[in-house]
Amino acid sequence: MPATDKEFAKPSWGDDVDDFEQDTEKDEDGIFTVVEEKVNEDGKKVKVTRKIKKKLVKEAVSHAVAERKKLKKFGASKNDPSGPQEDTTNISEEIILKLSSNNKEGIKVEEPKEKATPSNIVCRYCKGDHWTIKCPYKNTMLPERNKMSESRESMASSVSNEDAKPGKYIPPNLRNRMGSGRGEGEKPQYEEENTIRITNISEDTTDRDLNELIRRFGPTQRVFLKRDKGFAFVTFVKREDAERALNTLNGYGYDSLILHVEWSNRNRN
Amino acid sequence: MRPILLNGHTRSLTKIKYNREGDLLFSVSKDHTPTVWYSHNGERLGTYEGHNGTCWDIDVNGSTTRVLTGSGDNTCRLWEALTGKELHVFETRSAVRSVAFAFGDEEAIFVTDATMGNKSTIHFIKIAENPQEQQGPYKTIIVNDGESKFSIARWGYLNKTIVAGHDDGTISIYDAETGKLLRKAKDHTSTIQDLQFSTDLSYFITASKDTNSFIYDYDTLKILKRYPTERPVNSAAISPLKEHIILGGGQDAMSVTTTSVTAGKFEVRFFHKIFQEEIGRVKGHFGPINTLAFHPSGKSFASGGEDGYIRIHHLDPDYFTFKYDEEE
Repeated sequence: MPATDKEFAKPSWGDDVDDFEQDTEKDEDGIFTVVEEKVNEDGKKVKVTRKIKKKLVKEAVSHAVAERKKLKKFGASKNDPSGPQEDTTNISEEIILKLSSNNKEGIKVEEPKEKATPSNIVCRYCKGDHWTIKCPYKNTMLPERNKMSESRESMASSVSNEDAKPGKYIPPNLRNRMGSGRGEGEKPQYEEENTIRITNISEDTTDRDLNELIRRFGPTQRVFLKRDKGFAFVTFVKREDAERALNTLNGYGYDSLILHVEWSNRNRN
Repeated sequence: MRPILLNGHTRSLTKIKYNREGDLLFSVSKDHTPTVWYSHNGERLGTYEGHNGTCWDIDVNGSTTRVLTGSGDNTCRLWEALTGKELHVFETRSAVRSVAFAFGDEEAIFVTDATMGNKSTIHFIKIAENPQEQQGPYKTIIVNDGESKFSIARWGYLNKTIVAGHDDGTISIYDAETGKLLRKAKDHTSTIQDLQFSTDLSYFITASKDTNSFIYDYDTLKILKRYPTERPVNSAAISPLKEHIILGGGQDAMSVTTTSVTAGKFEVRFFHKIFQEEIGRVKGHFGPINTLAFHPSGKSFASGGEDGYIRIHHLDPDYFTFKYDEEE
C-alpha cells in the first residue's frame, strides 16, 4: 500500500511521549541506550536509562508455514492487529529447567516444606520437638548450660576429667565430646575430626562436581552438599587428606566464588 | 526459559495439539471455543465458534486445512482450519470424547461416550473434498458387551488399525478395515487419559489415572518402559528429538482447592525414556496439567492445565547439550 509522507509525519497517539524527553543512542555493538524522563508514583521526576539489544534471529521455514504467517485472524481475534495481544498472550516469569542424572532432585524439591513441620524442630535445651523459646525447662536448664560451656572451655585448655562426676547431668550434645576428649590418641566414635566444612559454594554445583573436586585428596566417607545454602561437609577417611584438602581448597576460586574451608564445627576446638 | 502464557481460554484445557509443521497450536477447553495459536510467539490466530458444550478433543489434518473437534454438546464438528468456518456438524447421541484424522487426510474417526443407553462407539467418516457433500459415519466399531467404554482412539500406521484406550485401563487394537479386535492388553487399572505415538509409530505412550505411564510396543502390546508416579497422569508425550518423555498430571481436579501448589505435583516431569528415571521438572501451572504436546521439532513443548492456561516452553540451549550419566 503506498503511504504518503504525510501519514508518516503524523505520529500515532500511542507513540506520543508528551512533555518529557526521550533520547535514543546506538553504540557500535548495536546496543540501544534509551534515556527517558518521567514522573514516578511519588510525583518525582526520574530519569530512566534502559539498554536494549535487538537481535534478529533468522529461521528458515517451509513454504506452507511461511504462507500461514500471513493469515487473517478470525473468530474472537478477528479485530486484533497483528502481533501477540496482551489480553491473550503474556510472557511468564523465568522458569529454570535443570536436568540432572541424579533423580533425587525431585525429592529435594519438597524439603523446604518438611522443615516447617514440628518433627524437625529441635529444642536447643532439652532436644524436644518444640522451639527453644518455648522449652518448659528453659529456666531450670539455663544456669546448668552456662556452667557446662564454662567447663567446656576449661576442658579445651587442659584435658581434665574432674567435672565428669558420675550422676551429673551432661547435655547429649556434650556427652560424645567428653568421651572422646579424654584421651588425645583415642579414635573418636565418628570420623568427625576428619570432617571439613566448605562454604561459599556456588548454587550450581552438583554432587558430581563436588565429588570431582574432592576426589583428588583421597578417599572420603561422606560428602554432604546443601546446595541452596551453599555449603558442604566432607568426611575423609584419613585426617591428613582432610588437612591437605583444607589447605588447598581454602581460598580456592570455584565457579566465580571463593571457597572457604574450615574444620567442621564439632572438632574445631 | 520464559514460557509464553496463553490465557484465551476461560476454563480448563482438555487437549492441545500441534499441526504437522508445528507452527500452529490447536487447543480445546471446557469453555466451548476451540482456538488456534501461532506456536513461536503465542499469538492467537483465531477461534472456532459454534460448540455449545465442553470440547474434549481436537485434531488437525496433515495439510492443516481441516480441523475436527469433539464436544459434550453431542456434536463433532469439521472446520476450515485457517478461517474458522464451520463446514459440517456430525450429530451424535452422546458426547464426543476423542477425534482423530487418518494419515492422508481422507478419513477420520470420532469416539462417542456411553451415556443414555448408548454404547461407546468409534465412528468412521470419509472427509469429502467438497464440504457440501460431506456424509455422516459410514461404519462403526461398537464396544463389546461387558467391556468398558472408549476414552481415546488413535490410528495405527498405514491406517491399518485403530488403537483405543478404555475407561478401565485396557488398550485394544482393532482392524480398521473389518473392525475386528486384534490385540488387547490390560495393564493399567484406571482410565487411559492420553495416548501418543512415537514419530515412527512403532510404539506409543499411555497416561492413566492409575498414576502410571507405560510405553507399549505397537506390534505386541508389551510394555517396554514404565514410569510410575504418585499422582494421576493426565498426559504423556514422547520427545521427537531426545530420549526423553514428559508427563503431566497432578492431584485430582476436584481436590485441588485443598492442596498447596507444591504438594499437588503439578509440574511437567521430564523422564529419561530409556532409563526410566526422572531428570527434571518444570513448574508453572496452578493446578493439574491436563494435556501436553511436543513440538514436532522437539525444541519446544506446550502444556495445558486445569487452571485454564496454556504454557509454551521454548527449551533453553543447555537442554540440548544435556547428557545423562550413562550416555557420556
